[in-house]
Amino acid sequence: MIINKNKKGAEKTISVYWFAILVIVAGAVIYMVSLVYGQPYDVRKIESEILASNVADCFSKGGYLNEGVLTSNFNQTFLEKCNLNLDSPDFSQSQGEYYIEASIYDFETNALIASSIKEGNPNLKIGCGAEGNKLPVCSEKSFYSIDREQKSYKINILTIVNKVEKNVQ
Amino acid sequence: MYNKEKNQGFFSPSIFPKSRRAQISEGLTWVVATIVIIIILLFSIFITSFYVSSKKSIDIDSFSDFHAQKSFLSYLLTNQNQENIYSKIKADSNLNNDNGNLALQIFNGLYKDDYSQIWVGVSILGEGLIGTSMNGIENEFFGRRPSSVVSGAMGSVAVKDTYYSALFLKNDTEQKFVEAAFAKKG
Repeated sequence: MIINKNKKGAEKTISVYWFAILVIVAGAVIYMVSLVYGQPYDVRKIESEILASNVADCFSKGGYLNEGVLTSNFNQTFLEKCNLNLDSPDFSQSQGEYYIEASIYDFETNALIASSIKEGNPNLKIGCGAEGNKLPVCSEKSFYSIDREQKSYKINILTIVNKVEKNVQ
Repeated sequence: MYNKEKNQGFFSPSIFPKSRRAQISEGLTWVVATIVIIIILLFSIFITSFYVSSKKSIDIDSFSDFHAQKSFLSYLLTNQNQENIYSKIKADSNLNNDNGNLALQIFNGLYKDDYSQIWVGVSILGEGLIGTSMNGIENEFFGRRPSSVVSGAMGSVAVKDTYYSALFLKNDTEQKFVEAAFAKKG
């Protein structure tokens, strides 16, 4: 009788032990899953590079500078002509989550040709080069292009994507 | 007799010394097992958090440079002495003084800070280490074409992140291409 009681007691202790282990393992698995899926993926680097590529395509296609880029009204109609929409409905409180700056220089003399195009939220520019976790992502690109008259240009494009709330925790 | 011995308490060592040792060893097994389980779990959590911290920033997997490619195309379309650079390279099968210096000015000027090595020149499609591959003709402006495979210690090889942009030139005895190569830093 004593033996049986002791055996039952030992079995109970082992069951409690297994239950505790089960809880620890389940807790660890839940913690690991929340680690992986709890934080958002930061896609702003790709987004800024795609934006820079679209702007570059708008300036030059097939190796030649697009007609109209050097005209005076291109700056005013830049977003429309390049089919860009900088509105961000998910961030209704913000002053703009994007910034685009593009400048065209003479390749030979390095002189600025047309006035720079500046669209979006210029305050984001302060975050470029600064150190920190919750800062906008900046992408600075340059490329060489020529026009049909064989004049050569250097085009600098700066694109900035903020969207910190949705990409960084 | 065995059961009796097994189920004695810890506080009667003088009567059943064997039982005490059995209980201690059994208890130790559980303690060690628990510690091992906890260590494995902590290690898994550490690996997960390490993986998460490095992979949460999505970057472009296949490395290519859209803007460098645009520059390369415009460079080939640039006229020098009433002839575009593409045609001139096609005729000479290599860079000459004029287009070589312009290539240096464009590619080293714009992308020197982004890449560890930049090369522009003519390549021939031929047999390489792994099937067919491009063999670059050395030129005085950019030197030798950077290889995507680099040799390491103990005869090991590693793939270096190098982006190539090539345009077909001609197919006489060999297939020739004008090519720009950009080897990533690091």
